Amino acid sequence: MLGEFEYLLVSAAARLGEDAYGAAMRQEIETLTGRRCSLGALYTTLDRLEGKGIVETWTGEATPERGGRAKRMVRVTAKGIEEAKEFYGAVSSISKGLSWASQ
Amino acid sequence: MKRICWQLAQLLSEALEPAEREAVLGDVFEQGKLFGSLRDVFGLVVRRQANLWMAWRPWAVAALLVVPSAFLLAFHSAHTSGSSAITFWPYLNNWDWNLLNLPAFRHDFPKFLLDVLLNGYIPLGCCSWVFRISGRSRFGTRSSVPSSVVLLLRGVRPGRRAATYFLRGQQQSSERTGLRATVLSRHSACHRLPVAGALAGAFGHAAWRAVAATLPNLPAWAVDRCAGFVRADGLASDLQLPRVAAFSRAGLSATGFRLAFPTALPGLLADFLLGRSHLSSSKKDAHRMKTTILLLVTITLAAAADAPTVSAQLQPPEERRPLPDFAVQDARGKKITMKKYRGHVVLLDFWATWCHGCKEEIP
Repeated sequence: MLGEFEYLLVSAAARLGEDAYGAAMRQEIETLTGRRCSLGALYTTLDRLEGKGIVETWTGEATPERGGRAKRMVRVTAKGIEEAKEFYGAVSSISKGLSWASQ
Repeated sequence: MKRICWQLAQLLSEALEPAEREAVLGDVFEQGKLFGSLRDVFGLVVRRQANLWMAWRPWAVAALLVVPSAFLLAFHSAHTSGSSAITFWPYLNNWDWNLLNLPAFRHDFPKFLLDVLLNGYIPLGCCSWVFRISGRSRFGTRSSVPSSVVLLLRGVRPGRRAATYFLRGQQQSSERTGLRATVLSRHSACHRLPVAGALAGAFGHAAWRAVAATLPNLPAWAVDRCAGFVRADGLASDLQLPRVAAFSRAGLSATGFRLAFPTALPGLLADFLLGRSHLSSSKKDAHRMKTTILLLVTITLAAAADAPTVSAQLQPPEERRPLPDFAVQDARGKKITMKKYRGHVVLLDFWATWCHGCKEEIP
């Protein structure tokens, strides 16, 4: 099963769809969760997820706003979607009936 | 400030894989928060470096291959830098163009230069050449296999895999070739050690001198032995000979190579061991590495064959003459005459307080 931060990354990549890459995913996580996401944690976790076959990455195009540097694009695989569903199901199940879950 | 942060981030990112560096610097540039991003790049570099040491293989190779060769090569580079600086010093400090008119000088000096080059600086230069090759591969990208990347096919012996794993760093799956192969990049802890070693060596000597100066009861031998780690520089500084100090630093001498050189041999060994089993994307690089190794081996063998041997050429008894009697004062001020030692074997050693080599010879 996915870890908590892994789940955040997979979710961010899924939300961004075709536009998922390092900086955008980081921005998404920081905005929606309010927690800091370091580049070190992001890229090492991405490698781990890629190793498990949960996401796939490839080199995207270089853009002027990035100083002509390429992006590392991210896409969630079918296996990744299954794993995310499993994690979400587990969190939902264990949270049922708890005071903070109904808020 | 922003510019400095950006330059520092770029410098730090040199320790990352080319493709990752591209993506990370792009992210940093895009977000514009350069100071915070500097911390991010640093964090990523630390994580990547730490990951290299998470397996047992790097530790095994470090203990079995790197440390023993480090000792061996540290001695060699210490000897080269120290002895060449000492020998060059009389020439540099007493240089006179009239020396060229002396046949003995014309005979000895070129021989000495050749000896220093063959035994010391050319092997050291060979290793720096290998570093340059490995440095060049940083400009590769993910889509095209970098020039020094090696595809290590499965089935090679465990020892080679272990050595290569340590020397070449992180593993990546090779999608490009479709082979069941492991792509091992040259960007590893080992190849970055020389940089760290050079920096540590450069500052280490000055730092040790500064620390030693604050310790009142530190024995002189401790100061000298530890400072002797970068002996050529230390010696030149002690003698206040800026020309020699400059020479010993500029001449690939003590500090950097003392520490950088030991880490180079494992790289050469791995290249040599892998010579027949790897597929290099650049034949030119492979060829250059092999040339370097052959050159290094040849020079080492030549140096070993040409090693000075002890040849005690005593004068025949009939040609010997008695030593004229003279008197000197010993360290306690007591008068010593040569007459007192008549009939005994006496070794006379002429030395000076400024001659560190002479002082080292004293038992």
